Amino acid sequence: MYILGISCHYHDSAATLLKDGLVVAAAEEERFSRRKHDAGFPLAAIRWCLESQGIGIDQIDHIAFYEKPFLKFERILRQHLDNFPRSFKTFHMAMPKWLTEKIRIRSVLKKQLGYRGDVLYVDHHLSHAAGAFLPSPFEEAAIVTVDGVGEWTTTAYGMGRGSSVELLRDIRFPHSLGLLYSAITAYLGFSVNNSEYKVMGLSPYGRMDRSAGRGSAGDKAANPMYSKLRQVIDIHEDGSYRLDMDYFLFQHSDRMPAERLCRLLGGPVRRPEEELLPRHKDVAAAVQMITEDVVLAILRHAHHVTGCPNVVLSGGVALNSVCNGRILAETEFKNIWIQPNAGDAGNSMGAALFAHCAVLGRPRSYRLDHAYLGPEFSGAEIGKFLSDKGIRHSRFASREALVSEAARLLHAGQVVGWFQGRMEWGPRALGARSILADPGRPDMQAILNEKVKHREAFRPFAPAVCAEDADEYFQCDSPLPLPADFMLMVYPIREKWRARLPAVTHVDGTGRLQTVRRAANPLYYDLIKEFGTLSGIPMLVNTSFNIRGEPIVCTPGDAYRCMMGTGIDCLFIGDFLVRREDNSKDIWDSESVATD
Amino acid sequence: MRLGPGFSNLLPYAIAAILLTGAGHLARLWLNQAAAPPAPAKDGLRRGMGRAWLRGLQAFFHGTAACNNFIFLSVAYFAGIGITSLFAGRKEKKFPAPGSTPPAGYWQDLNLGKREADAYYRPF
Ligand SMILES: [Fe+2]
Repeated sequence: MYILGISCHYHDSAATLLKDGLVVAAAEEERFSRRKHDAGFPLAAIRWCLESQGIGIDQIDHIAFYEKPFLKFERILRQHLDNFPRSFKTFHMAMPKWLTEKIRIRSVLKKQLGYRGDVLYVDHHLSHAAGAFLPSPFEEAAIVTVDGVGEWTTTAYGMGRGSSVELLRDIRFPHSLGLLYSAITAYLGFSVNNSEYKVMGLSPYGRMDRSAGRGSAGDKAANPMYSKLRQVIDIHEDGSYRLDMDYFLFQHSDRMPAERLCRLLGGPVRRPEEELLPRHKDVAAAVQMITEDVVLAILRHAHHVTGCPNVVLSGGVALNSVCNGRILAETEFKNIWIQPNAGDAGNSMGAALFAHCAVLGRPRSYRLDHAYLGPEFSGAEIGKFLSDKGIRHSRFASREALVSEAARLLHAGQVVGWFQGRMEWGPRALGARSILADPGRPDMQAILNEKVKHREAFRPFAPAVCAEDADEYFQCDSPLPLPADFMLMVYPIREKWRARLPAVTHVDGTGRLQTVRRAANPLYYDLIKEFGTLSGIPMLVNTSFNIRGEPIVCTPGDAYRCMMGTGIDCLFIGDFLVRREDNSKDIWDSESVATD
Repeated sequence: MRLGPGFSNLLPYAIAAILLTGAGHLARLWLNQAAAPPAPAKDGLRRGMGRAWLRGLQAFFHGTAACNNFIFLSVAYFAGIGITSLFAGRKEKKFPAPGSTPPAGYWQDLNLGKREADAYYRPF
C-alpha cells in the first residue's frame, strides 16, 4: 500500500511516500525548484517520490494532506472580521490563492497529478505530533508542538502511545511563540520564515550574565531588553502564554512588528544589511531567553500531566537547537527525539504516518534513524553528467582511496564539497550534501564566510563528530540524545578544546554539533575518523552545500555549479573527484546572487 | 473588415485599455505582486515588434485580471466582511495587567486524534 503525504501552500512544501508504512522517499520541493522555502504545490518532489519507486499516481492508495484547509480558511476570515477595515490589503493579497487553490485541494490534486482517489486531511498540529512521535524510537512519549500557526493552534501538548497520537490541550492564534520569534526576526531586519536561526545565532552576542546561571534571574537582569520584551508576553507557570497584540501587526498586515514594539525596543525596524548594533543583539538574546522560558515551562507542565520520561518535539520552534540543548538537563524528561524536518515540511511525513497508523489502523513499523531519504545518483549517472559537460575529473578505485584523499585535502586546509548518497530530509546538511573543512584552522570561519557562503560573520559553523567521541569535546547529555544526529542540539564545547576549534566555537563557547553514527553514514563516519588520525581531532566543519539564498544542492549539476561559483576547492561526488583548479573558468559568481 | 458603429473611433478604447492596464499594474504593485520586467532580448525589428505586441497583450490581460480581482474582492470585503463584522462580536483582545494572570493558565482543551476515521476524509 502506498500513501503520499503532502504539505504545501504556506512555506516549505514537501512530499513523503510511504510503502506499507515505511518511509521510502521524502524531499522538499525547494531542492527541485531551486526556490528557497518554495511554498507551491510540490509537483517535482511528488514526481521524484513516484519515480524513485517506479510507480504512477494511479498506484497511490491514499493522499494525506497536512492540514484541514477549511478550518484554516475559517481562521483567516475570522482575522479579517476582527480587523476590518485594516485588513483590506492582506485580504486582497491572500484571497485569490485561497479561492483558487488553498481550499480546493482535491481539484488541485486532480489537475496537477490526475489523482482521483481518497484524500485524508490531518490537522496541522496533529501532523506535527504524528511526525514527531510515530517515527520516534519510543513506545510512549509526551508530545509538544510549537510553531507559528496551523489552523488555529499555535502550541499544543499531548501523548503518543503505540500507534495512537493525541493532542490534549492547545494555545490558539494569535497567541503564538513562533510568531513572536518571527516578529523579532522581522524587527532585526531578517526574513521571516527563513532567518529565525540567524536570530538564534546572534543571541549569544547580547548582554547576559551566564555566571549567575543560564536562564537565571541574574542572567536575564543583565539584558535590559529582556524585561522590556517580557511586557509583550504573559507567561503562566504552566507554560501557557498570551501575547499583547497591541505590539504586533501580523493579524492584519504583511508587516509583523507594530510601531509600539519599535518604541518599546528603542528604535525602528532594522534595514537588511544595516549594521547590527548592541541593541539588536540584546533583542535577539531577549527573545531567545523568552523562548527558552516558555518551552521549558511547557515541557515541565507536559511531564507533570503525562508522567512520561520520553518527549518528542515538533513545529518550527523545535528547530531551535539552543533551546533543545537545555531540555534534558532542565526538565524531568529522560529521553528526547525530534524529527530532522520538524517544521512544516515534516508534516508531509506526519500526515502520511498518521493516515497509515491512526486512520487506517495499520501497525506502526517505521523508525527514522537517519535523515537520508532524498534523491541519490548512481556512479553511472554522475559519470555521464561529468563527461557530457566536459568536466575534468578523476575516479577513485576504492572507497578507502576516496576517504584517504578527502581527509588529506581537508587536512591541507582545502574546502571540500561532499556530495554522497541520498540527500538529507530537513533543513540541515548532514553529510550527504555538505561543505566540509578543518575546524582547527583559525582562518577557516572567515574563509568559509567570505569565499563560500557569503553569510554574516556572526554565524558560527557546525562541527561534525563521531557519536562516541562527542563527550570528549562537548558537555552533552548522557546518553547522547538522537536528535544530535540531526544537528538539533547545541552544547557547550569543553573549555580545553575551544581554542583548538576556532571555526566551530561560537562566541559563548557552544557548538551546534552533528553526531555521526557509522550505521547511518559509514563513508562520512570513516572520513571524520581518517581526518582525526591526520589532525589529532576527529571533527569536521559541516555546513550546508549551498550559498546564502539558495536551497541546498540536489543534483550533480547543482553541486558543480555551486562549487564553480564559490571558493570550494574540490568536490567529492560519488566515486569522483572534481577539482576547481582543473576546471579553471568560473561559470558564475555566487557573490552576486547571495541574498538573505 | 468593417467594424460596428461603436468602433468607428478606436481612441477611447485604446485609452480605456491603457488605463485598465495601468490601474491593474498599480494594484499589483500595491499588493507586491508585480512581475519583474523581462530581460531585453536582441531581436530584429519584426520579431522585436512581435514580442512587444505580445508583451503588451499580456500586460493588458494581467491588468484587466488585476482590476477585476480588485473590484470583486473589494465588494466582497466591504459587503461580506464589513457587514458581517458589524454583527459578529469581536474577540476579546485585552492583555492581562501585570500580576493578573488567570490561575488556570491559557491552555484550552483540544482532544485531537481520537475521532472516527470519517473525520479525516473531510477538509474541515
Ligand atoms: Fe507548522
